[in-house]
Amino acid sequence: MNKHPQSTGTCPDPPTSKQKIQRYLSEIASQLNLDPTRKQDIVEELRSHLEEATAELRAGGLGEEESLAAAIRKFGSSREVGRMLNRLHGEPLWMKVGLAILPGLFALLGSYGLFSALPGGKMGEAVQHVGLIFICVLVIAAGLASERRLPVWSYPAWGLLLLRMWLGFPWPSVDQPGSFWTVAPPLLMLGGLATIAGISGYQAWRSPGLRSCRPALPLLSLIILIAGAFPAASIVAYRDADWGSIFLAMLPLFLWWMGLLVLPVVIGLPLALRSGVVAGLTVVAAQYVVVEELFDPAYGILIWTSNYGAVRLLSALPALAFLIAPPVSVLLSRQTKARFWGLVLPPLLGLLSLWLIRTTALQSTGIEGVAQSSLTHGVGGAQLVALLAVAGLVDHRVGPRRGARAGSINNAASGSISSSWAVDERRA
Amino acid sequence: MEKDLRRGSARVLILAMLAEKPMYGYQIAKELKRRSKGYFVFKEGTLYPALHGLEKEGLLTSEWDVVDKGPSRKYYHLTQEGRKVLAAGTREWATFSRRLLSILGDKQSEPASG
Repeated sequence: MNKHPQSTGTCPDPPTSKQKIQRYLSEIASQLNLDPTRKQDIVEELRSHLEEATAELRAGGLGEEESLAAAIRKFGSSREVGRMLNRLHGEPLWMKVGLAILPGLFALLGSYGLFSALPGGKMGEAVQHVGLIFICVLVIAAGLASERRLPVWSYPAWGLLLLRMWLGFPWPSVDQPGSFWTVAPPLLMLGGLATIAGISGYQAWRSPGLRSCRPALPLLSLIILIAGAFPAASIVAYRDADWGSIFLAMLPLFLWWMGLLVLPVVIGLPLALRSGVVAGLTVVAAQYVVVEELFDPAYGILIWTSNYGAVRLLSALPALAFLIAPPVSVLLSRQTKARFWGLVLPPLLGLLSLWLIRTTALQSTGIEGVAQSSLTHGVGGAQLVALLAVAGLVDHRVGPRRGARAGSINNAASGSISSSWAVDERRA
Repeated sequence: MEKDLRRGSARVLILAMLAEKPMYGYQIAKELKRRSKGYFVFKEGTLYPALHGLEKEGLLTSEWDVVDKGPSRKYYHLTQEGRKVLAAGTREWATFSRRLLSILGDKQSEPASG
């Protein structure tokens, strides 16, 4: 079979009709759970049909809007057509969902000390860390081998792997003087991230379909600025100290925290360009899971209760939400908006709980009183603001405005289809 | 009942259209409507799951006809297996309609019970 054409070369329809046809076809395509090549082939075939039908109706004397509406009405509901095509062509989801949540489940079990029960204390720790990396690599390799690309279900594995690498760098200490080798690893990784961010930002800038992602560049700048608030607040807290020395000492920590905030966005953005913004955000959700505080809010909860059972149960809830809800929501949902909120809401809730815990847990930082409270509130608030900004950007891109436009076209395509061959009740 | 009858004939109708010559989806829909004088009119989007299903069964093959000017179209061809299925389906429908009409013919000739 020949490949589908790269361009339709169709009758000279006005751009408005083509855009409306594209939106209608996007509604159908969003329900097709199959590889992009096959999906594109089907979409092009349907596009050819709709364009020819529209052109024929216009040649018969109908106006542009009327002919388009009539052609879509004759074609049928996008939801029904998509459902029927997916029933025929769609690939089973259970394996993809399983692979998507496997790395997160492994990380969760490890955080609950499953592997520490293994004989030899070091063995359990090795299995937990190395095993997680091994499983992530395995899932990513399976995706590349089976689909010859980065499939959506491998994104959580990517996120966990990259964040584990980042966490693997030695924690920069504020007390020790900053040497080159302390700063070098996070600096080098940050350089790589900046390159990826630059390339993805340039691609987003050039892509006409992603013009709303142009604010990504100032958004990244905002995130860097917010992350800089951490050392800035420390400098303010140490009023009598040498600001230069404090800044140099805080620089590694600053780079580390900045990476933790920037990493989800700069890695998620190029993936979003390839497979949709909601797919890219799967990385964001997966990455925040590995941050230890999210697995272990026990410190704050223990201040309020000594019931370790309740602590364990409560600490499991956000972990489950991050690890299970995002991949399942993305893969099973048919609606972009549901997929979006399924990805963004768990990290938002997690960050909120983290912020609450930090404001109640009095950690020993050497900073006391109002400065400590301001610091913890500032960091937590900055994280929330950053993620809200990302969420707002994505919602603007894939949110109700696009859904409303598609809905108005679907309203013109009345009638339901109940079988593989639905007959119009009206006779000519 | 009428809808069920039309629905059940979809498969053999598509195969019969393609037995004459290769066609693309929109062409099949138009020809069916024209030849049946508007009797077989359906939601055109549902034609493609039917076509793809027949292709998956090996009764049809398809290929894109990419042209420099004008729309590119995906043409469907009937395979040998498709011709066999069409012949069997045609015989089955002929037998069905013959037997049905024989009963309906008897019923029509009976006086109405009162």
